[in-house]
Amino acid sequence: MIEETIVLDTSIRNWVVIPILFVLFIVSALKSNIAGLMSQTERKQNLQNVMEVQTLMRARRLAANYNRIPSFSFNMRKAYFTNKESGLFALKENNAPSNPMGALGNAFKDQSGMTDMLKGNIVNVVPQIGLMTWVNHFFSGFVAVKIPFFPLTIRFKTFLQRGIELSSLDVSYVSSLSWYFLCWFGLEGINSLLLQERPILNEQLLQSTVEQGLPPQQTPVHQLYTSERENIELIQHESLMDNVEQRYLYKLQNKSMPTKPTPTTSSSSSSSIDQQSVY
Amino acid sequence: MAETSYLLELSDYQNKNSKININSNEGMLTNYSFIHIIHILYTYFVLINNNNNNIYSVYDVVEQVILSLLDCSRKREAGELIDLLKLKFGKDSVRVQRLQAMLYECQNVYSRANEIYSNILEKYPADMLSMKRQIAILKSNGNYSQAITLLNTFLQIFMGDFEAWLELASLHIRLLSYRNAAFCYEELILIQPINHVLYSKYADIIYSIGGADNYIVALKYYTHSLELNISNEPNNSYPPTNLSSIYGIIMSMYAYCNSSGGSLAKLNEHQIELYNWAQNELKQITSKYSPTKLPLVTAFINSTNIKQQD
Repeated sequence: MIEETIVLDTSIRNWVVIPILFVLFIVSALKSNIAGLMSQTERKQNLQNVMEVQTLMRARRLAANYNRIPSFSFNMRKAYFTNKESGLFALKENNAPSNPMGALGNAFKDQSGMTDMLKGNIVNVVPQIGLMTWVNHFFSGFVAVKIPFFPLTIRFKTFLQRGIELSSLDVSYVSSLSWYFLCWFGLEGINSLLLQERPILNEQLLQSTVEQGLPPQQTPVHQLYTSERENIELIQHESLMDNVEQRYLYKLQNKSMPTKPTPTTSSSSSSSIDQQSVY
Repeated sequence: MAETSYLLELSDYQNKNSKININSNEGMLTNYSFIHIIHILYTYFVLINNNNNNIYSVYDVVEQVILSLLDCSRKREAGELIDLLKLKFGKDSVRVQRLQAMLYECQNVYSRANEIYSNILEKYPADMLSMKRQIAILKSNGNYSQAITLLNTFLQIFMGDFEAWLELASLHIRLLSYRNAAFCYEELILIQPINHVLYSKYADIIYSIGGADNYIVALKYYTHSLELNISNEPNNSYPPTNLSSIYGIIMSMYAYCNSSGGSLAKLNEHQIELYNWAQNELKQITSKYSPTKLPLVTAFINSTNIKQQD
């Protein structure tokens, strides 16, 4: 079968291809500016939140490295965290039921996180929807571009010829809607090159270090507390220092520890130390 | 003329920056070159500003320059740079306000500095750096017990802060409350479990508390510190870095044997072996790296001989 070339009208180039490209570029330039403007509202961090996160981290550290401190010190910390009356976790758990909404309530409680998410979505989604309707409405059914050089397999048809249901059309022809998608994704790199002069807004830059906390948590904190408390309560303290002299002497002579019933963790932990000590 | 030479040197400020990092890592930075580098960065910044070719990342450098200027107590230049930042970012910027307050601290006007920090904290209660500066003010006024109180409240919230625990430990050591300092070092060990220096320091504190049991604990922690930092490998090009732990092993065993409740007979065979190893190691290291000190070390070893005690 003879390949017939379709001649594309130059006014399609002038009135379809170039406008889509141009509008997309303008929109993404605007988008980066609007996103900057909208996210300028300061995110204040409350102390309670910071403290909760840090407490959890500290408890996790204790659970991970408990064998490196003497057992007296460990018990002291264990009591600090898990004591029924005065323990840090117990206090929180007793206060917890005041929030019956649970996870959902907690997520909604943090208004700033929600609005931030919403803003991000608006900035991203609204122009996309608007542009798609625009392209679909005005340019549907146009064959806008022909991809040069090489033939493509038939599978690309759905990708490159969205909006045109012509089985006889060669795959290398691109419909206007697909051209829009190609530009949408392909322009990212070019945009970042061209719009790079203002990656972060200046005021933000000098205020950003005020807030360096973690993003708001979705899981209610008392559940995390309960699991951490259980973790710590389950720990049977055994010290890494029990036979450290012997272990060290063996290490000096490049011998491995004799396997006794007692040192369950010593050999493995010393080898893990070797790996870690690079740090 | 000087300016143009700086210009040549500063064709690539990132390059310069990496050089500074290397220098400070080596710890070879003399005071002179420190000021020199500050001057270079300062001139660089002025050039950039004049050319109206601002890149925002420069302001990070400027902040560092201001801090180093304050460290060198060059208030005039620091003030100029802070004024520039004020023009650029306005007076409401927290970071600029903090720098201004640090300038006040440098000029010994602590009340005004404190005022600024309090204002910032009213607005942003979770501003860690301002809180730390307030503690630093108390410390530089010699108000150690108040500094400790404030640091404790700080650590109730930011309990994962390594430097704060370190600072609290040093304040407690200053006030000779070793048990509290030991608590801080335990916390530090939990935060950085494979940092050998912490183990050695912790053992120092435990040793200072004293008592037969504590000497053994100190011995174990000294040993663990050595275990984490073995420097006796033959192909090491640098001298051993954990001598204090070797001394610590000898001293804690010597103190144990001399304390009530402890004696040579109660030490197990590994501990004796470790003691002998430490003595030999100490002699070897000394004869290799500083042979002139050998008589001193031998005298130390002889005077801490646990075997002649009984």
